[in-house]
Amino acid sequence: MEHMKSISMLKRFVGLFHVIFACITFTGIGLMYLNSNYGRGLSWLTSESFEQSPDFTRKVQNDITNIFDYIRYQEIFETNGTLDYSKVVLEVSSGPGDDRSYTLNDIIVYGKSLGYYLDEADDFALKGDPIHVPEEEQQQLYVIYRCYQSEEELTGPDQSFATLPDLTYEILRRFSAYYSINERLMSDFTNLYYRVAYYSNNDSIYEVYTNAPEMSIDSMMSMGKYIYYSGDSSDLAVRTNFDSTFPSIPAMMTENNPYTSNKNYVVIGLDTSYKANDDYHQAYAAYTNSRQSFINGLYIMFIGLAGCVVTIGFLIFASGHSSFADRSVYLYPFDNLPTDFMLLLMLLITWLCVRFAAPIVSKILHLLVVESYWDRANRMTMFAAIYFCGLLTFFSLLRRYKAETLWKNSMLRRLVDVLSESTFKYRLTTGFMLYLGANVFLITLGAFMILREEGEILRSVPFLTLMVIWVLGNLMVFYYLYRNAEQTDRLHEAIEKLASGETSYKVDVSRFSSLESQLAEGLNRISDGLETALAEQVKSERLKADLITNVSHDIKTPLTSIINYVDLLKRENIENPTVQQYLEILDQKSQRLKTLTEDLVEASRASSGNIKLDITDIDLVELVQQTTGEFEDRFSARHLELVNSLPNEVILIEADGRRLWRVLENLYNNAYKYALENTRVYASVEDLGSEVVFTIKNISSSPLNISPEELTERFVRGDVSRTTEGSGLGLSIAKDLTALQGGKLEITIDGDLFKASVTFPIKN
Amino acid sequence: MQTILVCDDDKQIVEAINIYLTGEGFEVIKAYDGYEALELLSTHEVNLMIVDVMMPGLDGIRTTLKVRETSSIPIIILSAKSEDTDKILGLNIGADDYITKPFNPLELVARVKSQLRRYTQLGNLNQQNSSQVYKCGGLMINDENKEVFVDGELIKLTPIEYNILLLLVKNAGKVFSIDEIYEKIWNEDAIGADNTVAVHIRHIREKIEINPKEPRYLKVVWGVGYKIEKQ
Repeated sequence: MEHMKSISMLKRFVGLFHVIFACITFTGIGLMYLNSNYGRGLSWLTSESFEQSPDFTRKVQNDITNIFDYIRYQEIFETNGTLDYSKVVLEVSSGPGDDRSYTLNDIIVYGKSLGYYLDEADDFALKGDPIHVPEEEQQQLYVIYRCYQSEEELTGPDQSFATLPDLTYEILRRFSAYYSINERLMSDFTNLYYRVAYYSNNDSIYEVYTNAPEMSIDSMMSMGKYIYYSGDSSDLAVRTNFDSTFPSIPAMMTENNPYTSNKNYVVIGLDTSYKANDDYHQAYAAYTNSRQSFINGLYIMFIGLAGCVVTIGFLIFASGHSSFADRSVYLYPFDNLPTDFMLLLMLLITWLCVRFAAPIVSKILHLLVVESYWDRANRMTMFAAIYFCGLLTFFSLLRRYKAETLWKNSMLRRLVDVLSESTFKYRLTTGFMLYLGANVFLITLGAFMILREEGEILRSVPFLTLMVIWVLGNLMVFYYLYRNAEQTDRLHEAIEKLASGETSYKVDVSRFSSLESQLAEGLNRISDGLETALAEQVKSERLKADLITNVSHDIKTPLTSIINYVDLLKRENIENPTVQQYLEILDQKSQRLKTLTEDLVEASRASSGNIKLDITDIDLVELVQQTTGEFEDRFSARHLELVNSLPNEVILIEADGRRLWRVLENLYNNAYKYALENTRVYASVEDLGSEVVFTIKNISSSPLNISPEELTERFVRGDVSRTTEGSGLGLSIAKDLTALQGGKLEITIDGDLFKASVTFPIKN
Repeated sequence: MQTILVCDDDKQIVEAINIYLTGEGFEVIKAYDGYEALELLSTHEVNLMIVDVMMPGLDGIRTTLKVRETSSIPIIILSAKSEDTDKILGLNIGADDYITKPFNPLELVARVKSQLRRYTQLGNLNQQNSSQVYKCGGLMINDENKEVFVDGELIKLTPIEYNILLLLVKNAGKVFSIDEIYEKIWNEDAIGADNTVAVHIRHIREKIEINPKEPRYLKVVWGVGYKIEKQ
């Protein structure tokens, strides 16, 4: 019991560990999911540096744009290279004579009054909303000059008029950008260095924009990453070790060119040791960090998965068993539910979990998790619910499998059992109902789909699935019917064979199913029974024949003495006629007893078939002639005339010569004994084409008040009192012997006419 | 005086045989089982032995086998077993004749005499070794004198019977159909041959066989014809 307890505890622990490992796996997946590099596969982890990442390229591109923007903003807000707050940035007119001009300072002051401010923490981004704008300031003003747009561009009517707050917002937005770039690039804390230089045709007039005036071009290009672009037509090459050549550069160069000449260049260098703590430095750190976290996530996921596999492996091994040694299976009450019912139940429970429980848990999680992660939290809880239910189902199925009740304990099996055990009528009815129901359901569903989908029906996957199920189902029904018919045919064949006497015929039961196999077994039992009965009969006939033979041996010994001593007595010269008469009777009766004994043995052997036949080709005509020769003298002694009618040709049959002679001998003997004296006995052989018939006819000396059938039965004679000769077995022996050789003995009686005919097939 | 050993466990049968054989002038010594018979054989000079099959102790078959180890005297088995297989067994293990019980006393005596004649005359039969003499077991035909002997006893046959027998003996072992015999003997086509041949054969058998129903020489091959068994 201790052992049992420990393994059940162990199983619980392992189950717990499985859940923990599953959580770890999810954590790993989550880490990878939440990573900014999610969706980029795995190759970047090993083969990519920060400078090759798309984020980096985007950042540089952004800064290149910033540089050229800054060049423009410098013109707007600066005077002689320094920020000039007194610089006029806007001139408007509200009517004739009412022209007003605003300096940068004015605009900033006005902007502040509207609620705008620059957020230093967020790169001096323009923040704040103009909450209160007086009605009179909403007036449309005619714009004479605004710093961010040249006069030539003020053409469209909508561009010529604007309200003061709008204009202020636009100016401040640019001022914010200027400030932001200035703060980032012009300070000492930068890793990006640039120089943009424009030369007029006269080399002494030029303009240079840079954040590192004292740095040479070569030193800029030797810091790490660099790009050098020249507007000179003689210098087409873009020299760079960035991954991108930044194709927007030429356009921006041209746009900002104050001269007509194209003698200009831009050089940008990036210190890839990121000494200064600028945003490149931060981005680099973030990138490295994210890579590490992705790798961590990967490791965690694999560890979690490995743990899951190991724990589930153990649980698969241990589930259903109470100890390692005892491999018998213990089932929970839950496992005793019918399998298919359990599956449906679990399906329902899973659905309920997903539908109701998971959302509730999600709602609780929403209290703890940032809104942007809610979607993921929802999915996680849903997945967890499905996983948990699936796990329960799986282990229940596993235990059932181990206990071999997976199929045994299912409603489907019970249904199949009930169907296969019940009568054909019931099966047919139920089967047809099910078939009809399924067909009606599927056809209705199909029709519904056709109505709904119309033209596109043949591309609809559910419809095609339905069609496939329908066709397969019908094929299955056909297969079942076909198999059934086949089995019926086989049964039919078996019954035919049994009925025709092939009692040893057996049906292969393994090729039958359900109720048909019972039928087949029944047939086999009948066949067995018949065979046994037949064997018993043969055996008992043989035993009887053996018994008769043995008894006859025992009778013969004393009979020998009787016959001998009667004979010896007769040799004594006894004068007394009475004694002589008695002796004669004794002699006759003992002789008859002898015949009887011998015939009895022969009759029992012939009727039991316990005779070894020596079948050869025999000429029936010859045999009849021979027989006639044997009997002629005896017949004439009784004044019987033997009239033969034989064909003058050889008629061959297949028979045992000695046994057939015995048949004829008995028939001739019969005629000899019972024919009326001074009559004729007719014997004939007739060729009937495929058969030959031997017939012997005589007139009976006494009335034949008996049926022919009885005559051939053992111990039956036409008239018991007629004579003391013979055993009464002659015709019976003749009939049995004929049948044994494949012939047929028929006896007809017509008044006093006795007729016996032996028919044999002619040998080709 | 020839001595005959009779062996049967039924004393009355032995006694009856004793009476018949003594009446024919034979000397009979009696035994009631196989061991006794073997003992008597070793102490007496016996010319012929009649032995029963079913006996307590040593049965007739084994007795015969024992006797045959040392002696070639004629042995007649006398048995209640009348099956073909029993007869074949008896003759195969060395018996010269097989008589079934109940037996006809006359037939028994005839067979005893026949066996003795054959046994004793084996030597002097060789003298008549002319080309005109045909022999088949105990059957001998001297074509010079047209005489037929069975076991040395002269048999009287009609000319046709004689010719038929001669034909069969000359071709011993060959089966002749009724038509063939008719054509050979009468020199006529056997169209509508009547029963003549069969009747003649029957008569011959009655003359040369002890038991015409169980012929030793002239055998009937039922449905095929007749033949003289080659011996």
